[in-house]
Amino acid sequence: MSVLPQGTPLGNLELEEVFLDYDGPKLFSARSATGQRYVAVAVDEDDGGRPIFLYLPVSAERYLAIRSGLLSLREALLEPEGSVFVYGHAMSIDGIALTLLEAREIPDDWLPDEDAFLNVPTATQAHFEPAELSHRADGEVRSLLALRLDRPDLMRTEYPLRDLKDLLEDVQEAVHADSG
Amino acid sequence: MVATLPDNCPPTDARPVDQRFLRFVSGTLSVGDVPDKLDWVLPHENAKSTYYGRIEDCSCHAHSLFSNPADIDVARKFVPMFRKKRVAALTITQSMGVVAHTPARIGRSHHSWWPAPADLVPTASVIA
Repeated sequence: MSVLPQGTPLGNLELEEVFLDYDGPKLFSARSATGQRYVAVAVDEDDGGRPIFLYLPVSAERYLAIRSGLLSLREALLEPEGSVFVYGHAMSIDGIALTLLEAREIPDDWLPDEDAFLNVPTATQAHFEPAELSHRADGEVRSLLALRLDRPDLMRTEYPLRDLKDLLEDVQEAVHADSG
Repeated sequence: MVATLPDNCPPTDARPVDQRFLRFVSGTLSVGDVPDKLDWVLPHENAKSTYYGRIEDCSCHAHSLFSNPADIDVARKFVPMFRKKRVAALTITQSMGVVAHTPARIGRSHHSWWPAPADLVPTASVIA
C-alpha cells in the first residue's frame, strides 16, 4: 500500500527515494505509474495539523541535478521545468486537496533555504566498463587509455573541464615520453 | 489501544540507551513547556501522519529523534514545515524502550525510538 496520493492528477505515486523520514517521509522523490518523477517536500501544516507537500515534477536530468547538488532545492522549485506546479496532501482521510501553483506563487516561507543542496553522490554519466574500452581498442587497432579520477568533493560522475586541463597535459607528456 | 508490534520489530540493532535527544514538537508551545501526549503519538496511530494505519511497518511504531542539534537546523533548511515547530529535549533511559540509529540522507543523527510501553509519554522540555 502506497503512503502517497493515489488517483489524483499526480498519478498513482510510489516512494522512490527518501531523503528525510521524520515520523513519515518529509523530503523524498516519488514516481507515478507512468514514470513521471516528483521531488516532494513538506512545507507547512494545514489547520488540522496535517502536512502540506509541494510536488515538483522533474525530468531525469533535473532530478540528477537536484540529487547531486548541482541545483539547490530552492532553485529547482523557483525554476520548474514545466508551467504546472502542484501541491497537495499525502494522505486521503478527508480527501486529497490538490492545487496547481505557479513558481511565482510559492510563499517565501514554503521555500527551502538557498544553501539547501542535497549533495548525494550521483552517477550523472554512464557507468564505465573497462571491458568495453578493451573491445573498442581492439576494434580500432590502437591503444586507448582510461583514467579514473576521484575528487571527494564532487557528487557527480563528471569532472570540471578546467580542472582536467593540466592533468591531461601531464598524461600526454608521459605518454610521449614513454613512446619516445 | 496499543498495537502489537510486527514480527522482528524492533530491529536487532535497537538497544536500550541512556542518551539525550531532540524532537520537533508543536509550534504552539513555548520554551520551558512540557509537550503532552499529542506530540508523542506513534506514526501508525497518528491520523495526521502519512504513515497512519501502517501497523505492519516496524518504523511506524517508532518516534523520530535527532541526537545532534545541528541536524535540527539541517532539517529546517530543507523542510520548511519544521521551521514552525518547536524543539524539545529529552533523555531516553534504559527502561523506556529501545533506540536504533537510523540515519537519513539529510540528518545523519536521526534515531528511531520504540517506546515501552508504546504509549509512553516521556518527560521532555521545549528548549527552542
